[in-house]
Amino acid sequence: MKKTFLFSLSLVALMVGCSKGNTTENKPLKIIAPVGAPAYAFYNEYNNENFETNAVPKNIIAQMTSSSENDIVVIDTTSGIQAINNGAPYKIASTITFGNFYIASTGNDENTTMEGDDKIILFGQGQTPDKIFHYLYGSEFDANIEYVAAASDAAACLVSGKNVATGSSVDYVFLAQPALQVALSNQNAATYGKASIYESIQEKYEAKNEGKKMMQASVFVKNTANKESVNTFLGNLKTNITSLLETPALLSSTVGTLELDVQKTKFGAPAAVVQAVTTKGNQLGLGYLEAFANKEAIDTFLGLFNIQQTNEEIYYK
Amino acid sequence: MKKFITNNYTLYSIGFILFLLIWTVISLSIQERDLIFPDPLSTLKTTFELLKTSYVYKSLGASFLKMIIGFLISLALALIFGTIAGNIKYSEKIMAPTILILKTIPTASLVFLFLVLFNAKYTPIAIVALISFPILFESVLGGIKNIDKDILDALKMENCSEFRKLIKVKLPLAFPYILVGIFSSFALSFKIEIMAEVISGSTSYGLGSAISSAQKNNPADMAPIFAYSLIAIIFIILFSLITRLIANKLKIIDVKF
Repeated sequence: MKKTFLFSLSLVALMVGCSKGNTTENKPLKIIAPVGAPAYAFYNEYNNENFETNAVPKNIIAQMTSSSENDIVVIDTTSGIQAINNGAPYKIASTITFGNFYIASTGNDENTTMEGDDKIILFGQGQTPDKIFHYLYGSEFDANIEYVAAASDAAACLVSGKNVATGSSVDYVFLAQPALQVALSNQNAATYGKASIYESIQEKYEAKNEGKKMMQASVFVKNTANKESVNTFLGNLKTNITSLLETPALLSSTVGTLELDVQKTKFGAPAAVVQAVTTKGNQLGLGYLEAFANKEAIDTFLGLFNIQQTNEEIYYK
Repeated sequence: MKKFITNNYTLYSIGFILFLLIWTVISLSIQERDLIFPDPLSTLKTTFELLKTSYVYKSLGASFLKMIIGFLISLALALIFGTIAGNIKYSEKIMAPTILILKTIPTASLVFLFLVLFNAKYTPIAIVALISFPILFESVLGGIKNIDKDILDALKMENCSEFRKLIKVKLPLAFPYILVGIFSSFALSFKIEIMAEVISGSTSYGLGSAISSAQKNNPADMAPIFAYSLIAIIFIILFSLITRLIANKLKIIDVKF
């Protein structure tokens, strides 16, 4: 009798254990985003322990595996789609960043027009900034382009007016917001007061592509994530981004309540700086567009990177 | 006079002043000083500014906690495998290739592996555990192997279990060796923890995350990076001194300063 009771109890425990392991209902969604502009789309999640950021985008891509605990991954569209093509169990749901790239002038160029003999700094050779720059400007400036490894190195060039690695004087720097605003507002910078925004890359891109937006960073949903929770999450995300663009001051009551250093580490820039650039015509390039409805724009953007047209199966519907 | 010059503290002071001098000379020889190599004074100034914020203490505490967790996991594994290797014939040789690989594997490769296996938050813990394991393993093994042969012979006459002999006699006798291993791998573990935080891109509290964020948010100012490094150095020196003093007081080991 005792043995039968114990056996039944273990069986029940086993069944409860198994059923718990398989369900995704009521489980909060785990979200990961790179620091910078995409992270700020999640300003309302500033206190959510299931929302995580990472300072190295490649590390986020490395975690797009079947064993990953991340239900929602935010990453640049090209890397995310390439990861799916390589077998990552995710689908693209929406695009939330439509370009935050700018060319900034250091103030060193006397005629204030970017020409072939001007020294230009690009970051990430062969990566998104490099490809977009060449797509828009061709090879006209190639003779005087100097590459640096990361956006932070490019920001150092804008702040000092020099390429620290080569020692050469710099005229223009390709940079992304909010790093650009942080550099421009640095009062200790050698270029403070002289440096300014020269050109918006996304405006130039849209002009060249009949108004099609630059589908820079997107939301990817894990195949095993609970659909109902994901739909609610995506709906809330759309509402939150719309609210932020209408009322940038929302940042000060959310991310802005965190310690300044936490704002910088977790989100990539202080909330006040981001609020300033969002007020100045959405310079972070935030927005919300469903991916499947904008397949054409995504394919156009991917074309820059020689990635073949996307298959409908990779879209979250 | 000669006694004063050869005194340990005098020699340490001379070494420290010399280090500061070299640092200052290098800094002065660089044109973009703040951008590349801040001098000791501006580093110290930034350090004091940072120490006024609670973020530094939280970051230091978080890094230390993660390092301790990794270190304790490593110590537990080292005690298990070290005692096996020290007590069971041939097992030392069987384990030797694994230990050699763990000693020589590039840390960066492990970071990327653990990023996929775990996540950025736990990667530094796993890295610390794996990197400090060979050092701790060897100290446990060394401690057991260096137990006096007469004691081991006497133990054979005792009528008690091998486990009891291990707990009551062998491990206590090996303890000074284990402690030396702990001290020698402690500073390394803290350095590894900070580096793993930087490479893993973790944005939670931690000195590595703080260094990475400082570099990204103000790339034209290296002083905060130097300052965070100085905080880490001071912390680890103070911690090592205190633990060694305690060990000396308890007469566990005799470490000269």
